[in-house]
Amino acid sequence: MSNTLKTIIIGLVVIILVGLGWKFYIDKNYSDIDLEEGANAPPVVENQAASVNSGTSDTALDKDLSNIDIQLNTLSNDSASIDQGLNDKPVPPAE
Amino acid sequence: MTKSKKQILSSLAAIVLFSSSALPVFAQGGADSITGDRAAKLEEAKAKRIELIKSRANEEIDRRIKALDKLSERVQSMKRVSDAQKSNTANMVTTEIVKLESLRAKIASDTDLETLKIDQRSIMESYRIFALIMPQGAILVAADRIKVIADNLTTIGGKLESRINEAKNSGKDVASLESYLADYKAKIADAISKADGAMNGISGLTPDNGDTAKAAANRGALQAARENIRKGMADLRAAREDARKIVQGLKSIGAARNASASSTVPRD
Repeated sequence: MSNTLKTIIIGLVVIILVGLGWKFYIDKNYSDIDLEEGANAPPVVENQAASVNSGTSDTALDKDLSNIDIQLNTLSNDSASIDQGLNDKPVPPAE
Repeated sequence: MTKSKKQILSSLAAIVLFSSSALPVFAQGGADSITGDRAAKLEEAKAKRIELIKSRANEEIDRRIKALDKLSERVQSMKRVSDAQKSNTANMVTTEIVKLESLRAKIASDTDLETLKIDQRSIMESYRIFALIMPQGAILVAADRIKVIADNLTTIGGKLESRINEAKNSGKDVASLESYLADYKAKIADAISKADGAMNGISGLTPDNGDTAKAAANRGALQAARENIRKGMADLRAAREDARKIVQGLKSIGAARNASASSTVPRD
């Protein structure tokens, strides 16, 4: 193959590559970007504690302890909110 | 030169001739329209991208403001933290919300892509504050709740002690119940101590502003406080279990009481 032929072929290849490069540049910089949801915000947890509001009978104590169970469950939600706050990640910016 | 080489050269020459003749026709005949179309497409793509960035920025701002609003509500309802701690946290939350709203307005008015990108990055930079406030506030809320529950358990403990003493005075064997009660009180005291430790460990934290050493220290303090909350919760659950055993024990030794003169003791 002569040098002239090689030069022509290389030239055409260069032109094609430049064209593809330009198309890639346009696609990358001006195309749609997938939206991704970021980390979830911590859930709302009511900070309303139950009450201790009865006497000293067995029934009253059972009720008191049931209220404590409710408060402990709410505390578990508070605890989960701490973990969510510690592990939260920002939504990545659109590039 | 061989025949095949001549054919290749002829073909390439034809391509080059076609390109050199056809492209200028496009270039001259439709240059303006092609350039105009391309520019219009670029502008359209740019506008689309600006809208996309604004949309995502708004999403992130909305997410943070929503979380901060919820935290603010919870901070306001705290009962056992000091006024200074409560006020400090509330101020941090409010300040951050104001900054985010201001940034939202700035972004909404942005028309230049580069300016918009800078504003969008500032959301990310402000994330350091958000990343501190959220767990810090959540720890305060949890510590506050631990102390509220501990107070309620202490009140219940008074009732349990009264019942145990009554049974003891009537000749019942309450040794095991007294042992449970002692553990019950110790667990409550430890839970309060852990809650105080959590509060004190994080109350003085401030945003790192890019200082990696400070960021690591903040993270460590938050993790330590989180561990205190975990231990405090375990203490309360253990106390709750002690109470269950005491009530069950009172029933099993025949010290059950079906009614009593009860008074309402409102607790928070």
